[in-house]
Amino acid sequence: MTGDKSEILQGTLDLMVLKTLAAMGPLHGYGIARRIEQISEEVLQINQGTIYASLVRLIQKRWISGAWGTSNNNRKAKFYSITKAGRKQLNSEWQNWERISTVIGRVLRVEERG
Amino acid sequence: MFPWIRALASRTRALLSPHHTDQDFENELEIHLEMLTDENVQRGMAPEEAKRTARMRLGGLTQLKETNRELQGLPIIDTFLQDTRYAFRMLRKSPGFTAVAILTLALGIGANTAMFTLLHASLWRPLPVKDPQQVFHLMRASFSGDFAGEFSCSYPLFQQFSKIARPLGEIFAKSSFGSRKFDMDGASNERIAGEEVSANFFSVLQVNPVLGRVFEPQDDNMLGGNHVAVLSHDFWMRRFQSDRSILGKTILYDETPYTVIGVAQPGFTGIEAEVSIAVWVPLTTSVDKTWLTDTNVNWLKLLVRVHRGVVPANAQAMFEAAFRAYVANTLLPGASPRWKLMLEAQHVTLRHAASGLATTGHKYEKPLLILLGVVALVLLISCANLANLLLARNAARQQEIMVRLALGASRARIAGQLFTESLLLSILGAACGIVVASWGTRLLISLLPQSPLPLAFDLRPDFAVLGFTTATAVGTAVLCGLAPALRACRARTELGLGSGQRIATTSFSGRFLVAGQLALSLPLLIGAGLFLGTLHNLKTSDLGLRPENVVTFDLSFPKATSKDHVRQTYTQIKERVEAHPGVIVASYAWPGVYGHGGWSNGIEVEGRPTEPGEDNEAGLISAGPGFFESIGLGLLQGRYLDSRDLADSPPVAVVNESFARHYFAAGSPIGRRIKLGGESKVMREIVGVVHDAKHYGARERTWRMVYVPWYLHASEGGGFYVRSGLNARLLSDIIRNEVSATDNIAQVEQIRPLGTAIDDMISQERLLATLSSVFAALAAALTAIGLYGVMAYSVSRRTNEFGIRMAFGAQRKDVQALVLRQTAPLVLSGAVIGVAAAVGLARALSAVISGMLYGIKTTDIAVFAGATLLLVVIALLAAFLPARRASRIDPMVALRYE
Repeated sequence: MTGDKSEILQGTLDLMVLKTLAAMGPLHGYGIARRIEQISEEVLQINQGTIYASLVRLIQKRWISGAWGTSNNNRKAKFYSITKAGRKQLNSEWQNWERISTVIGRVLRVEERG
Repeated sequence: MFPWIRALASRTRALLSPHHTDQDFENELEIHLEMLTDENVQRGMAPEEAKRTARMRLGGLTQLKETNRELQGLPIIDTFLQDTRYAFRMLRKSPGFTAVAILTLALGIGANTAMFTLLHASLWRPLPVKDPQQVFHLMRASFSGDFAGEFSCSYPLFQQFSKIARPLGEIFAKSSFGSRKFDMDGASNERIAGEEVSANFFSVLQVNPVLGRVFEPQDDNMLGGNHVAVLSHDFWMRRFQSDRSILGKTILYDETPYTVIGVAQPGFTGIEAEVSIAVWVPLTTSVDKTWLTDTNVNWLKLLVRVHRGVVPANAQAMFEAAFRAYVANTLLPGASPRWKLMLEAQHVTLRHAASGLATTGHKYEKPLLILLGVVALVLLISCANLANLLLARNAARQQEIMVRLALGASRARIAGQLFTESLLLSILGAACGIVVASWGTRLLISLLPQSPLPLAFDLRPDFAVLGFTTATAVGTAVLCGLAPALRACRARTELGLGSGQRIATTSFSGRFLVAGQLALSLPLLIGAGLFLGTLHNLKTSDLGLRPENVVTFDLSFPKATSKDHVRQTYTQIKERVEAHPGVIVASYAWPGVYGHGGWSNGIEVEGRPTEPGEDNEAGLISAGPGFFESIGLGLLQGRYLDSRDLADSPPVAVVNESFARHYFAAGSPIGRRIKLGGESKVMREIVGVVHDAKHYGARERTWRMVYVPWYLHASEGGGFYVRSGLNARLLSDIIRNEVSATDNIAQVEQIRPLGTAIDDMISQERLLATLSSVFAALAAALTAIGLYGVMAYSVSRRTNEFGIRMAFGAQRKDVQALVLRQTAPLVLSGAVIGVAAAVGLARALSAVISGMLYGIKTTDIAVFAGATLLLVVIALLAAFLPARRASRIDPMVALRYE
């Protein structure tokens, strides 16, 4: 199971984590996973544990940083926040994504006519 | 690029403190679980159910921790360490297998490393000077037929080249190194390796002094130069214990006083790869003044450091042009026709000298390279054996592997672990191989002929050698381990975890490997046969002499000894030695035979003028009384030279068969007169004809020989030859005693049987024959072992079948025949491929190899057939043992055997 994720899926998950942190500010692991599930309207039901792999990757690339802190219920938790480099990466990935989806959309529309 | 490096950095950090990272993550997971549980409780689940559902949503804790660990640390290193520890345990569990495997590898890798070390030390190791690749040997050589060979240059030629060399580079010169007499404070009889060099020797090579100074231009000039000497660092340490007060002291080098002015930097031992020079002196101080101006005395080797940016080919062209001009203006006028031909065939080439001038090394370059190929093949065969062993072992571990696969291990991981085992074996084998190599290299050097100078190969292992060994080890691991590792993983899990060891796949690859081994062994056996045949032919070739029971030695005198003294000493020693009972005859000749160089000149026969373009050259020897009898050269007509042929007697000569046939065809040469090239006024009468003999080596063509009385060269002395019935030790003592009794300044050098001197000339062939046979035998043995292993395994698998056959009435012989018949296609295919490979190799390498053979073709049918037959017999014997075991099976036992 650990080796089966394709690169695309990995990259997408990383991107979603980045976006979540950028939009919501510092969050802990549970918070990030819950948020992704909510936004996708429960379509994406992932094993919540899988985001930790994303988090490790993002930390290694210095796009997010992690620190222990206290949550609203006074519980100790590790919070992650996006870094400047992370924001830059998010922007460029977003632009990429937009470009690709536009092009693909155009191509698909052309084909249907034939 | 950068994120990758940063990731690596953080991973390494995590690797160094694994506990901290693991604990951290465990805490994080716990908290996450709590939060999920809380959420579920809020939704209205019971606490137990909440926790269970939370766990499911989070995912398997162990797996998450595993993934985290993999992402954080450097799993490769972790895995590798784990695999290595496991591999160690597995190897310890089967000591027999491990020992055999490591031994096989140690021999294979060790032999390869030994060959490589020797080649590296003598030919490839760069000199410890600046920019060694800019240094070239300015060689005067001829590559065509009769006159092939390298030649030294004269001093005037050196000066000529120096003049035109300036824009291209700097030329420096050295004389042949040699054993020189060394004396200090009256303690005599020391001999060291010394060299005479031009003044710019050290400056061109950019070798600095660690004490004092090195030579400067004024030290070497036409007026005789300064008598100064530079010591090598090694010599200074050994002989003078690094005493700094050596500067300014006087030493006697070759019986001439020199002042020590400096010590060279450590590590520099001259530019001859295999000799460690102890003392250098300037060229012009060491020789007769006439040598500096005589264009016919060729005693120098020239080297050039080419300036950066100059293309060597251009430099060579310029030197060639200068050489041709020199030859035309200085050498050709007045030269004999034969000499003219020889000069015209000479050219100047620039040969790379980055590793120095390896005079001995070049002689052995080809045989050593061939042997390197041989040992590489032997290593391949060993690898095949090892691969087979590993295949069999992995087949036995199939159950273990299946269990691990079923538990979730990835195939890559299992293959990696199996591969690590073979890598570990290879590294252990290589480590032992280095030990084997150091013995092996010493053994190899001892097989080279003894020279008066101690050969000083720099055998310290350096990076090149270590790199070579490591590469061989890894390559071996890949060859042996990869296939079995991959094969083991490809096994299908459906085969079940129950008992039942019928894995049909191993058998085929096992046989394939053995067939390959057979194919590789056959060319080796054939090669060994060819070289052995060559050696045999050389040893039994008729030299025209009878060298048995003959001992030879040289005498050396101090420089200033008078000619009369030398002559007297020689005559007296002969008398005294002959006086001993058991000594048949003692005599002397100059130049001596077998290893002492040669003398030749043009001969004119009275009444038969030389035709233009005719080669009238003959070999010449000044023979003392009794010479022919001492070496056993038979007489055909007339008489030998003897004691009545003195300075005041009529001039005479003895010729050999070839000479007589060439000039006198039908008639008898006795009484006819000849004139030697160097004696314009003397006509010599031929008094005898002897058999043809080879004086310069078994491979040499038979020269026309003219033997003249010894008094012509009495001052040069020459070699002594003593024929006796006494044993070597006794004779040696007699000789030494008589020499010291006759003359207290003469020194005896190198007493040895004439047979040894002759053998030294074929040392190259001996080396090849000995080693190629050893390795061929090793290869055949390894192949036999491999074949035995495969057949034994195959038989053990078919035990059931044999049991049934015998139960149905098959006899022992039938079962044996069955097994042998199974072997036949294997052996046949291996033999056929082997023969084809051998023929192909013989064709491809014929240019190289045929030069090394003697009296035998590269495709000699007898050798091919013999080797093939030998291999087939060995193979059948190896297969016979398992066959016999198969036939001894008790049917009842076999039927029950699963």
